[in-house]
Amino acid sequence: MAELDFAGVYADSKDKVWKLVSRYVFLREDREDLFQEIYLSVHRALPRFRGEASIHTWIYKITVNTAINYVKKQNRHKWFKKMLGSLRIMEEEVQEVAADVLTLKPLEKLNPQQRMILILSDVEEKKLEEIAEILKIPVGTVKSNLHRAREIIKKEVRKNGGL
Amino acid sequence: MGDYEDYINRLKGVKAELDGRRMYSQIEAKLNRRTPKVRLVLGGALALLLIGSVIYFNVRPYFFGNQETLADYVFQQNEMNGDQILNYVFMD
Repeated sequence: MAELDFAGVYADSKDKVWKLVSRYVFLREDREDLFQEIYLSVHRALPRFRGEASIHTWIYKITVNTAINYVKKQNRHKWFKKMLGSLRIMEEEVQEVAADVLTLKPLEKLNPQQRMILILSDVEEKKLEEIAEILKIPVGTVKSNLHRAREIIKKEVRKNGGL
Repeated sequence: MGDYEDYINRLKGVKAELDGRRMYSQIEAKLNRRTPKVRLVLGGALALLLIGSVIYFNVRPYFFGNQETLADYVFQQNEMNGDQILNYVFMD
């Protein structure tokens, strides 16, 4: 039963989830990895879904929170690899870079939460209250993070001559 | 604000191909590979118990001035009784 539901849920939501994932992480391998992680979480949580919110809102919340945690984890790994690289214990990996990496590059300057807030607000055009509810943080925190994120991106875009 | 808006519009235009079927089969494979949590917890508890008992019976005596392990104690008691117990177990 859960298996059948999962297939249906996947078919209905995959494009929207992929769209957000593609805007949030830059490497093809990471996108696919994160996408799979999101659906593993959905599968795990599906038996507990009570239908209080729409299934799309529910999946969106899982997507956003899994994505933020994924990038946090990735940043920790990057830091570790950099450290090992500087000690020449491990060679830094060369990964397949997405074609639109130049566009996405300035987002790397933001922390995972700021990056998500900026994408949700300015790219996905969600209301601040909605974002606050998805991330389970106060609206004031969303506002201040968004302000900071915009400033950083503006500076980066200016620095790179409008990209 | 112009540059920033241009940048956001470019972000909105970011498109990546999704191979939905391939992704689904990879997710399914991961789901099938996954060990149930209960088994993981039980396995972990058993391993901890084994490690704990090895440490308790072999390492602990050294920290309390007694250099002998539990096995030493069993053999000593057996010797004091004229090897009766172990002889009984292994010979009879």
